[in-house]
Amino acid sequence: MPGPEFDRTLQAKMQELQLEPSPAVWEGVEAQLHKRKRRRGVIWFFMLASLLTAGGITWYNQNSTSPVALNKTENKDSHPSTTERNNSTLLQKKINEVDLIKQDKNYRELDKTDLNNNTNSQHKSIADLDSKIINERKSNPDAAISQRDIDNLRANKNKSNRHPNAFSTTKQVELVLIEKDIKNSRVVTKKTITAEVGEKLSMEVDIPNDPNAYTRFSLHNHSKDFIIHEPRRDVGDNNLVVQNSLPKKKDESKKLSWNIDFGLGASSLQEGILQQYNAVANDYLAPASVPAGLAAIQRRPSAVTAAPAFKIGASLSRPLSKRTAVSVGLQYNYMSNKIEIGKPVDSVLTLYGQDQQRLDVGAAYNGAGNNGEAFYNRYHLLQMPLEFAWNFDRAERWWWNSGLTIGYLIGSDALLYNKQAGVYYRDNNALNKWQTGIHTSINYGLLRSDILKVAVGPFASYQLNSPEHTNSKKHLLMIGIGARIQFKAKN
Amino acid sequence: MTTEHQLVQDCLKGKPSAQKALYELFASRMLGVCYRYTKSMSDAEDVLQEGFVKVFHYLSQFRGEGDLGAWIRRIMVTTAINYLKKNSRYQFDLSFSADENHFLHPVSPDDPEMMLDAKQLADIVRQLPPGYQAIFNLHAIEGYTHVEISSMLGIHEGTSRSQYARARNLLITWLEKESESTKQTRYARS
Repeated sequence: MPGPEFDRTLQAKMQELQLEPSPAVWEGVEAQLHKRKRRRGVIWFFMLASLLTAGGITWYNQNSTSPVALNKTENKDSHPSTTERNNSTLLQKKINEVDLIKQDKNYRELDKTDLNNNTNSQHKSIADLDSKIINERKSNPDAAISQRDIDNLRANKNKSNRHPNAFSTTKQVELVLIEKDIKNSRVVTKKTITAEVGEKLSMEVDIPNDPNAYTRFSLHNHSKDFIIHEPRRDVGDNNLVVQNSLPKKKDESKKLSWNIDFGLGASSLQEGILQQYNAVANDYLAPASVPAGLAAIQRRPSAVTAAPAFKIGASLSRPLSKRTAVSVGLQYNYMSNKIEIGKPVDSVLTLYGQDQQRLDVGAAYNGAGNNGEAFYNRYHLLQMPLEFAWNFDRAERWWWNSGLTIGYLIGSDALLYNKQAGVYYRDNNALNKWQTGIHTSINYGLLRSDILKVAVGPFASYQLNSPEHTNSKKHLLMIGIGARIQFKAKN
Repeated sequence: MTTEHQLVQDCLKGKPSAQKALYELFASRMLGVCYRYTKSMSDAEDVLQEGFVKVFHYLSQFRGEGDLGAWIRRIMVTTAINYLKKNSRYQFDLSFSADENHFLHPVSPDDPEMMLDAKQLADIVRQLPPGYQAIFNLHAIEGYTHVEISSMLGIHEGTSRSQYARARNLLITWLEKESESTKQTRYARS
């Protein structure tokens, strides 16, 4: 029965097979590419349209102060849009087949440095040669190391859940290195080496005088745990390297990478995640205990509407698995909301708060609401987000991020409303400096290059604490479109 | 940077000329791969077309660290396997009922490359039943392990091993027959 030589020859021969396809194939490819482009355009259009519609509805509802309108908003918001879900499912189905490609553990990365240093033709020939060697290396049923041995080693590795290389340092294998003249199908040299799996061996080999001689090296037992880096004959290098070939990607995937995050959107004052803060109901219609002798004229508080907000920060992320990652960072958040106030009446005013405490405030404004003078309550927060990211599509484009933030209010000029006196006043001591919040976002990977990845998508963050000590019903909500630039971890 | 790298970058920008250039660079080689997994040129071209659509769609995932040809080849192999699974004509049940001794295109077992060109060899492999053909191609030509093949085809690892062994024996039998036949022909001519 023919031995390994038969398999190798057959393999080499079969890999040479080249057939000229008919022109119809390219026409078909081209047509499908155009179709995909159009479909992608439609998806983006609908996503943008949904986003604008949702934004419009939010703004419209926020400009209305009636509790009925607020309830409508809540109902609308509580129903998730099915468009994105459907798109996501469609995408998921389309890429299922490529999953098998990703499961391919056989694939070995070529030495990038070697390839980059080469000219085009040299690059191609060396890449082809390596490819052949890699493939040839894998097919030898009479291997000294049986497939079972390799499988057992791998099983042990998985069981112990240690570093990919850690399992193998205890086992020694004997490898026979064969230098073979392919053209004449004859073995030129044989070297026997003893190596530990995981070890990198380097040795000098003789370069044939004949520059046209086509020789290559292979391992007699074709152990899949080793890879051969051929000598660079074109540059006079005669150093042959036999190296552990376990995938490097596992290590690389655990590397830290830096991200820059930013987002632009709007923030509003909420009673709950889906319910806008109703100033009239809470600060005017609700019974307030007015101290005896303080028959202040109550003026309606202004409606609180959404106003611009943005965030910018940097974070450090670390993959937990192929589809999950955690990140921690530092972020500056600017949030604001808009109210209408009257003119300042006094630079110093004494007020009584909800629990009858006396407040001496630096600035107060009467005629709250309906006086036409817009005022933006601004909040400057420095936050530390702790985030978990989960990739939910096989193409690794869609990521869902969520997490917690701990923040400190580093500045604010927000006005507080005194419901007894019916005036707005400023008192930063009455603000909650420490803030905790939750946030979520969905990111779509738009761009991937050797250096960075760019992902964009909608985000929402919600502060669990009220910005005020005396009113626990208020919460800041920020929604918008965010982007993340992830710089690739260096090897 | 290399031409291939530039080509990939241009394809990622959506340049039709670059897409065509990339296609032309690899099409004939990849059709050779598809041809080995299918039973007709028409099916092979279908796989090639589907495979290249995937290549362009997922090109952004190619990080440029390895050989582009090897990456495309893996896509083609996966596409071919999926094509076989989907296509009822291939009856991908991996059970072998054909007569192992029936005549095919026999070739010399000693030195097949001296006697046959790549296409002739591929034609012989293509005469194996679909399951055998796929396993033989995946293990002997592409170099996948039986564990990986079992995962790809959804079969037991042992099945992959036994089917491969039988496919290999079958091929060798055919090649031996061809060797005898060739010798007789040569003798008659001389």
